[in-house]
Amino acid sequence: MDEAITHLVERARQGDREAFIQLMLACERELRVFLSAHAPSVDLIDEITQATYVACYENIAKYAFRGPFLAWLKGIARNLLLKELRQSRRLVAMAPDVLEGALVRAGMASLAEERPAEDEERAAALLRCMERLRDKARTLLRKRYAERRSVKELAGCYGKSESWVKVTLYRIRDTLRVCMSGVGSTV
Amino acid sequence: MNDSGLELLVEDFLEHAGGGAAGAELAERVSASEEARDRFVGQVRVSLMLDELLSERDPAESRRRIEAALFAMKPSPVPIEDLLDRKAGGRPRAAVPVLPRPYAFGWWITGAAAAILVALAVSFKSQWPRIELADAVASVQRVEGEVHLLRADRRVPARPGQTVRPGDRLVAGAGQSLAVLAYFDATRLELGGQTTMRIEDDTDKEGKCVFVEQGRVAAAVTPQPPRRAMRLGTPHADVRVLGTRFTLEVGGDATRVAVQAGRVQVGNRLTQESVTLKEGFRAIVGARTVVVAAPALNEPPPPTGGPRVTAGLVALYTFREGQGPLIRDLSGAGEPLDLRIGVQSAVQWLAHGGLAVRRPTLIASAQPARKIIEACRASGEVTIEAWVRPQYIEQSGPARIVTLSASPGRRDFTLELERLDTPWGPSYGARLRTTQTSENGDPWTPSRGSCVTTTLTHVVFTRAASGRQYVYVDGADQTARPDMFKRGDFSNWDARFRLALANELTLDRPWLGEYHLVAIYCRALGAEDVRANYQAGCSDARQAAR
Repeated sequence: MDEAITHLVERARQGDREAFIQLMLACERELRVFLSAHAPSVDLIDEITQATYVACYENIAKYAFRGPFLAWLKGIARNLLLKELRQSRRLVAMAPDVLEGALVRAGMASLAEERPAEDEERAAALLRCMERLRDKARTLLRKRYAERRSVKELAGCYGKSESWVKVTLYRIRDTLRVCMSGVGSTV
Repeated sequence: MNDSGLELLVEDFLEHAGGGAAGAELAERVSASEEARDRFVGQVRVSLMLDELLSERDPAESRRRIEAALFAMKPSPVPIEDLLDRKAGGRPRAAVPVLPRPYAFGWWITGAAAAILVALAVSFKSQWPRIELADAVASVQRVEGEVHLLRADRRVPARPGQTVRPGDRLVAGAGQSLAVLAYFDATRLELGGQTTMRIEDDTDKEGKCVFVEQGRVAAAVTPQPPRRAMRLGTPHADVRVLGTRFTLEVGGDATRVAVQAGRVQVGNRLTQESVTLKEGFRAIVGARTVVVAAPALNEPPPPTGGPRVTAGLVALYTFREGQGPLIRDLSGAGEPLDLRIGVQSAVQWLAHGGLAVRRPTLIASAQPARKIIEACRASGEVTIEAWVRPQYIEQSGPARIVTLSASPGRRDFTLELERLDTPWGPSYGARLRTTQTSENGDPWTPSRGSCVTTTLTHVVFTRAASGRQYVYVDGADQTARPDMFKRGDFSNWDARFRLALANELTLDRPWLGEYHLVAIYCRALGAEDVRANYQAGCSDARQAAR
């Protein structure tokens, strides 16, 4: 994988646009997962991902092969996200939005910790914690996130009320949150 | 902690991307308790991560986004600044690297050898007689509809990859037929429907040469060597160009030339009089008339200030904020529909007003544009007005200037800039959904070609309840076809769509350039209204005019 990435990077640095596109496609998932651990919304994940493509395209000649390319790419994304969060914090200070404010502050705090290894571990931990869920809970998560079914559809699918679906999803996510912070439990 | 009720509110927030009805109550709970805040943040965090880890992203969609970002960042094949009037007296920069002579000669040899191989390979497989090296001057790059190549007394369907040589005629048939002829230096000639063009001999001291017998040709000419200007002849005119973009239309008893970038020398074949047209200028050359050159046909007076039309206004953005991520709706109509800049490092607030979008991003309302949708549904009319300055004239997608939509194929309306690959050249235009159209709002209503420049421009699209649609550019009706009607009403407009600038909501149709004013009316402004708004200008336009 690393070798393939390195090869794509070399071609992209020589101006091969197709190689650049393949490179970004190869890195997209990890980049987005990294952003999802800090960004307040999926809209901002989309925006920062695209801004990272552009910044990478403009600066790939500066990449010096001193470390993994993905880490370099995440560094660009991190700086772009931090800049946006700072701007958003100013906006929230002017026109308070409690929910956005809470998410922006949390995102800035987690980015400020600057522990790349922890970023990678966070996603792995979430997957491990998912494995510890009961099958029914995992199935519900898959229907919600992989198949993108709405609460209403899920309620119909399970023959339950929408409130039941909402509460159950909340509890599963809370279990995962606690599990990720080191206190395991089973749903 | 007792989470009773919080679960329902959080899920509502997540499902509606923060726009749920219970937002106020959730905010109250979160601000009242630190524990509730931490749980809320944790829920959002885990939800976003699950979304990324479990959902399968469509690689084609991802690819489109990456390509769109790169295309938007790509300067025009011929850099605009190299083509513009060089008032400053500076030397034009070379559009391509110029090699020292010995190396250039070496490359010429290599290129010639490659051309020989290509020509031989193509001619071997072709139904045509073998083509001599010197004969192949260009090749057919793209064909749509009915296009034929005429050589001597033979007539065969044109196909991509086919080489052409002096004496050949390329004939594009009626309707939407289209042919693109590409020279080996990347110069492109695009033939619209009902066009006949003859390839002339260019082996003498002059440069490339074609003769347009009839129809319409859009040209993007790569910078040519000194004293070897490309020539395009017509029954009325002789056009010479060193490197630029323009359209040429031969019909009736006149030839019309419109320059989009750079300079073009247009001469009358009979009188030998000639003028030089620069960007934004046009000329009509008659059989016996002197060449006429003007900045624009029916050119309106420049903006002078004055009152803007306000009746029917539902959203107004003047881009005077000067900083921050929000663009305020100053219409005073209903709840303000403010717009938010997606990535602020992609934009630049301009010192004298206006917002420049330098890199792909999305500027959008956080909520659906209900006030626009409801008011326009009721009236069955709409006007989209913008003062903009495109960064490049060749933007792809079409590139979204103003849109009320959800994705590339689902819209209520979109004002956009279409790329060069159209029979009418780069054009402003609009797509509008009614009960008689698809979700995509086709067919689109384009402006005439050659309206697009990189100068500050006033663009307006209107649609009346009668179905009549117009595109105005700088105060003048520039609708490409006079019969632009769209039947139906707006009762099927999707009330969930958000208002956005500079991109599609899916981030794959970026537009780059400056915004100086955007207004939406739920009534069709008349020609006088549009003219009044053009003359009122925007403060930035008035400043530019001084």
